[in-house]
Amino acid sequence: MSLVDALAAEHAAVYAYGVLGARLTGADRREATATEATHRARRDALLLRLAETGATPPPAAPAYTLPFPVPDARAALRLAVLVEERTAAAWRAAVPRTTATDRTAAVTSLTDCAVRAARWRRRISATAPATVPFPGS
Amino acid sequence: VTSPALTRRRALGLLGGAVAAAGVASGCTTGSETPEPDPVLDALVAVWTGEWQLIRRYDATLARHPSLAARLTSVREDHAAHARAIGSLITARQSPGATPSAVAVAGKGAVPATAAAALAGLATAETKAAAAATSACMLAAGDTAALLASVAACEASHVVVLR
Repeated sequence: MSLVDALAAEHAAVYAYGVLGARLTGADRREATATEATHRARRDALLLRLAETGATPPPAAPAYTLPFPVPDARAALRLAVLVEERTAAAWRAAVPRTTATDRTAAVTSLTDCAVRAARWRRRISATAPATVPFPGS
Repeated sequence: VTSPALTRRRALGLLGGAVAAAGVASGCTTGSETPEPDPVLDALVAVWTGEWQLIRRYDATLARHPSLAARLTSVREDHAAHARAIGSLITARQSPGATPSAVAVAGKGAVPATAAAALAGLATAETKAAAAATSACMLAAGDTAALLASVAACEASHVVVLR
């Protein structure tokens, strides 16, 4: 079930933003906090939707293994980009397997991940490309 | 910065692959047979045409405002990647033996005199393109739907760069 995979990705995103937000300050910190809330809302909407369909949603893991250590703000920004890329991939995978409002939610979620990834990349580097041609692929 | 002339040649070169598809999409017939209506193919051709309109618009903007090259070049390349990928899907989907017909990629129009106005216009165009790709995605299935979703997401993310 692709929405189950999206839920797992949103669980992981909520966890990661909790970790990375603590390494950020100022506007970056505020954006991380707001983004964590967005992923939490998406996760909760998915839990409701999966309950409607009778699927058994996977529970959140108590902790996730981070892909690299996050000792400072720079690593935190890199992790934010990675989290959005991975969450984008889960939503993209859901697109062909969904229809109607579920498809709309998948495309919207993929789009939101791509926009946030671009914002975080811009904060890491003002000169490197902030976008990728095929988010989630 | 790519010159408009080079862009046109590249556009026409790439057009070769998808021209026949446009013939199908606009209802051209092969002899006595009428092709099956294919709304997904029509939508792909519309998105593909929109990609080329955007590419030409970025080229015109870069020619008028070379100082924007650092911001706009990679965005233009994203659209070129979209056009290639969607062109391949169109070629794969078209009926064999369909009669080719010309594709008109609309003129680029005037580029605003200030860089700020040019960026604002591009941001509006990206938002519209993302909406069109999302609508096409809702019609499509499988890998085509996933690709169109990625195209829509990419175009929405371009607004971050243009702001």
